[in-house]
Amino acid sequence: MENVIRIDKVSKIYRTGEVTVDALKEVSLTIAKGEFSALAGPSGSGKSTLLNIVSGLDKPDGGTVELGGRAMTAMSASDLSDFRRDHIGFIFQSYNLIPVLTVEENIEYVMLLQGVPKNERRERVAKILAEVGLDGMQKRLPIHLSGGQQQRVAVARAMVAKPAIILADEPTANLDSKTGHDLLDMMEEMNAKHGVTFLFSTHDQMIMEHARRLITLRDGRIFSDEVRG
Amino acid sequence: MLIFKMAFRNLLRQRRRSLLTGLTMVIGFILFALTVGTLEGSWGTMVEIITRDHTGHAQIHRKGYLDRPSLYKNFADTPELYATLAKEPAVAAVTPRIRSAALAFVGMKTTGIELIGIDPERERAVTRLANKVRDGAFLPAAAAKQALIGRNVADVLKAPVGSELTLISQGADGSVANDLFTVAGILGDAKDASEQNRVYLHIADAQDYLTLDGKVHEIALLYHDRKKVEPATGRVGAAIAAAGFRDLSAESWMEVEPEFYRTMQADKKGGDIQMLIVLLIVAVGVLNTVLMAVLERTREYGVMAAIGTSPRRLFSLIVIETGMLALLSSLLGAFLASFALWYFAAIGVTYPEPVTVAGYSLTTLTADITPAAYYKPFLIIFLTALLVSMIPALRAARIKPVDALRSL
Ligand SMILES: Nc1ncnc2c1ncn2[C@@H]1O[C@H](COP(=O)(O)OP(=O)(O)O)[C@@H](O)[C@H]1O
Ligand SMILES: [Mg+2]
Repeated sequence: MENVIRIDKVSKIYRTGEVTVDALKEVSLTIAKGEFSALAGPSGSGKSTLLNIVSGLDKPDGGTVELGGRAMTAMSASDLSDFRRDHIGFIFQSYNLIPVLTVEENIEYVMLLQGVPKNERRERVAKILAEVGLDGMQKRLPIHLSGGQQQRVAVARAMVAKPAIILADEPTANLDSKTGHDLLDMMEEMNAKHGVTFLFSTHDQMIMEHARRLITLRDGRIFSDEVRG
Repeated sequence: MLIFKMAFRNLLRQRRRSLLTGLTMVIGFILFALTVGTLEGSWGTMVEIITRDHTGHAQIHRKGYLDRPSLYKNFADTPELYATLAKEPAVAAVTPRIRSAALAFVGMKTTGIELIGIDPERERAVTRLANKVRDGAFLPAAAAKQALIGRNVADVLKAPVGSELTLISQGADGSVANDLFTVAGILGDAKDASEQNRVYLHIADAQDYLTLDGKVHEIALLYHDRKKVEPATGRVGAAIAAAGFRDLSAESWMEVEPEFYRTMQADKKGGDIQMLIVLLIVAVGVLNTVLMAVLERTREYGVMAAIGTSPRRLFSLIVIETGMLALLSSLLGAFLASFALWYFAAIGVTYPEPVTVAGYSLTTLTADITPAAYYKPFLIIFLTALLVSMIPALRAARIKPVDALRSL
């Protein structure tokens, strides 16, 4: 299977005054195309740090990150910005959406940055809206959506730009458990249907159950990495 | 364009704040427009006073006359010359003059005077000299060896209307000019400085007296539009040169009265300070609002940057947002300023005390409604707002998604 991500001996050290934290200690990991993986671990284990480095939002202090064969660790800030736009989908814990844009405009946004022609944008938006179950809500502003609906729009926005991988840092942390499971079900469906690679983090035992591969971090190290049936 | 849509909606997000900032710009615009308008207005009034008082909007002389006036630097005011001037559409009226200096006597009293020969009827069309006659009468249309004298001359010589005035000077042929004139009228009062030591004769009498038959020293021009003095003078100069009067030149009143012009220019600078203060208030207002907005939206901008919005786009978004507010405020400001300008232009505001500039006094502050009263405030408000918004915009462009996203 083709590797989407190759992380090699990545380490990250935070220094705040006297205190230094080894947030990641020579973590190595590969993610294959089409995987649906969870990054688990208790709070402070380094999940966010790892996701930020994989997505190019942060730079590691050591090691290399490759996405689709390209070394992200060597890219300039503006190259990284374009790279993220074209190859990475993001779902954050909350406040994912641009408040002044409607649902459809939010979904359209990244495609607009990518320069996708208008007709195609419209088509893709309509299609994905139906898939994530938000038909009829295209004209709403984010504040008029529930937390679960907002996360669905975020998934739709990530999906529609056709990224190599979608990274989600605790996407369900602000949702009740039913809504959280529904969101994960939907992400799984997207993964199954379109083969989109997902890597999401969580510290919620129940949410981890959705993953087909469970990578557990502890104190900045990979503690276990298991593929389940 | 999505970026304009976003910028506009961002403006509507904090309505109160946008309104306040907008209002600062609106008021700034109006103050600016009034400053420019009243400056142009009082400038215009002053120009009107000086040009209609004596100078005219422009004058024609022998080349070099203004640098070093001389009895001998004269020229013939031929019908061809008048015809050439009459063909210029900008020219409303013209009047020829003779200039010299003389000693004036009444009985045993004597004083030095500035001697000016005028064509009474034409002079009426160009200047308000006739209105300045306080005692007696203005010169009759035909030469009758009469004189108009300044108030100071009348006082020093103790010469009431009807007195016999002896003038002694030098004729253009080198002879001594010596003749008698009757005082027809006295010009101005003690407060009016302009005519104090002048004596006016009919131009024919003056030519006769100075043996300058058919010659004049200057022709004063009045234009239809005082705001177009410079281009009009350029055209008049070209026209007389083209008509073959190569030794003549046309000079605007700014060249005829350079000192007055300089004083006025200096006075105009006074308005700059006022504008600078308005500018600072607008700048601080805009900076404050935009900076606050950027701080509040740190997370949102962080998300936008994370999903691939380039720093340049984020920067533009904020500058455009401010630019839109500045544009809207300017439109409203221009609309409201029109009323204020109209009031000043049509009615004016009376000074508590008359203001004296370069020897001329102003009683009312008036405004001129010129394009500058609109485009100057617009340019300054708009550019200031844009420039100032770049500081927070730069901040937004530099937002690091990791930091912004952590500030949850
Ligand atoms: N910006 C930072 N400055 C200092 N320490 C940090 C910073 N970000 C994370 N850390 C520390 O690094 C470790 C890993 O954090 P994080 O990646 O956020 O863990 P998780 O997402 O698994 O909860 C924690 O000990 C955390 O306190
Ligand atoms: Mg975390």
